[in-house]
Amino acid sequence: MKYGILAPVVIWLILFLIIPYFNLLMYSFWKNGAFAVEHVFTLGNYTKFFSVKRGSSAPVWVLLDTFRIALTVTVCAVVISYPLAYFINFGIKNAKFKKMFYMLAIIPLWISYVMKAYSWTIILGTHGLLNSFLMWARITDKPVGMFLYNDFSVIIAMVNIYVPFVLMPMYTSLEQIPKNLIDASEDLGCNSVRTFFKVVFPLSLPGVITGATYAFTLSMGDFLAPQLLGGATSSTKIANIVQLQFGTSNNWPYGAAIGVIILMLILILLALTGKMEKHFSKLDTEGEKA
Amino acid sequence: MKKIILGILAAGLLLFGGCSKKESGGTAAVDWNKTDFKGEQLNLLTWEQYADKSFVEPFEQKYNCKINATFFASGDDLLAKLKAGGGSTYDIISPSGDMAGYLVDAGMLEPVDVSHISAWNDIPAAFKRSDVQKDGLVYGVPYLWGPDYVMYNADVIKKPVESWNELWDPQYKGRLALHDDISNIYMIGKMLGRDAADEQALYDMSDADLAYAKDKLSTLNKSIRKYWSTGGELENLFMNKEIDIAVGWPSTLKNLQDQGMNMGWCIPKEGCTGWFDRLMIVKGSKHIQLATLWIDWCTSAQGEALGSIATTFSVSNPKAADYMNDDQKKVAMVSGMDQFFKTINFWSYVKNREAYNEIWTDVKTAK
Repeated sequence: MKYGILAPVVIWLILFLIIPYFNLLMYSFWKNGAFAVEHVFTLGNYTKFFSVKRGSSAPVWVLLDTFRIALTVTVCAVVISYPLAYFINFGIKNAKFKKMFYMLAIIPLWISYVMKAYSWTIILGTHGLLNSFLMWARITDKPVGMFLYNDFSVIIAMVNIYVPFVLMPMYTSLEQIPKNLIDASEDLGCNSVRTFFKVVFPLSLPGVITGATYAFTLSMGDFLAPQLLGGATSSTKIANIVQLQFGTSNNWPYGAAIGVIILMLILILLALTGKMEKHFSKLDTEGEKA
Repeated sequence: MKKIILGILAAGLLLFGGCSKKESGGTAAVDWNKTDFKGEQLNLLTWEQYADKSFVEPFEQKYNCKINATFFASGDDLLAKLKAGGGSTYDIISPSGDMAGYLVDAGMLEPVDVSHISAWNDIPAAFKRSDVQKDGLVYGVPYLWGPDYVMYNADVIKKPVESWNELWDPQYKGRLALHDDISNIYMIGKMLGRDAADEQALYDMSDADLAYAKDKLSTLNKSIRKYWSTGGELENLFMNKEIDIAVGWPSTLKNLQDQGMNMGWCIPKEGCTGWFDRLMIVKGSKHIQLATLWIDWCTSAQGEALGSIATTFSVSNPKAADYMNDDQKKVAMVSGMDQFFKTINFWSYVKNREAYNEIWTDVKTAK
């Protein structure tokens, strides 16, 4: 009876986590028939993923390409979010303004994803805002087509969409740094740059890692931004290939296999970043003891 | 706690039990003169053009029912949605020839009782294709059809386009859009003239031809601004001046012209492929009578005329001409429609669909 209170959670986990993942794993070893999935064991879905075809990218290369995009998005999002989080936390003294700025940075989360993605077509388009500005400023005399429908526009939209996800954990970890540590560092003769690199940055690392992990995993699985903002060869990322298998290509077992492969990759990544986070949090407490 | 869990389980069972009871409701004798379907909803899974209020609203009023439409973007998209939803979610579908035969073979349809389709005898025999008939039963009623042709912004492209090969012209670099669909592979087959002897050859191309299609389409990638997935997306690309030329449908051309764009179009000299849509009832549909009445209305002279006026697509009921003005008849090529029908190679079911799909993915990831 003591554990009764856990029952809803356990039922939830079984229904919405364990059964679906188990199902996914089973499907990935089944064969795709003409009209339905045949329950015959095969490794074909996995070998197909790694086999290379002439003149085009094997799915595994698309995966690596997606990796590259996700990494770029992560770096950009971290580089943008960190100064912002730092500024909101340390730059604004008034608590009311601090809260307001934080809300302003988070508000984009309330806007629909598709709307944000489409807005970029208005900004980056051939006759969009950016081109109008460049022509007005006489930087170019003809509209530039290279802003939209390529990897550039895909990355920009994803950075825009995922910055709040990175900002939140970063802000939280910066907020939790005791002010007296910074005062102590300054009392002991460190200038603000040294204080930042010796005290603030190491203590905020767990937040940075969490934020970066969010950005990376979310952009790995994003199929909408590439589809809406990608061009001829930049509209197909790994998530689009998975989507294709469950949609137009109608090959669920193959889609499940790719899903399992991505899942494994992400789990390895989470294990690594989890370890890193623990490592840096340990530094935290050691620092406090000292 | 146990009681609560038991309670939840019991409630769940009741819920499921309730559902299954509803489904197995007896079929009473059907009254075909009934006009009040109060509270009933007919769910369409159609191309985005086939739920225009000009023909949806009169039907809703006449039968006091509600029509819901879900759109699909390609034959495969239709199949995916149908597999996920089935007869409990959708009643009516309007697949093109590339999916129709498959759906019949896969047993995903209810036969249509053509004795209740008043226009059945007006539809020319050539339109009643065998791919949607099986064991003497009819599974699809001919509806609208048309070509996949070349359209362009005539303000930018002054010289009329004549051949598919012109799409590869470097002057269109970054200004071209194609449908994100395997129908591009049919286009290559058409350019090669593979269907000279047998129309079906485009849908069963040899490995060598498929490899050629992959290479040929891959070289087009650098000209492609965007692969479009819905007619609305293509329209936006033209309106925002992102592209000058595209392969698309007459309905998009009409919408762009309505918005004041100077558009040109052509069926290239090599000929073109096209789609031929049939209205079908999904297996397990709970509103078969209403669905049959919907098909009856859509394929009636007036229904087809309204459909054609809304989309500029061609009709399969020649009597629709009575409800169209000269301009509308001209756009939809109603006079001489038998001749026009013959010039188009209509999409058919591709047996090796997986290979076609893979080639298409390969094209989009070509380096």
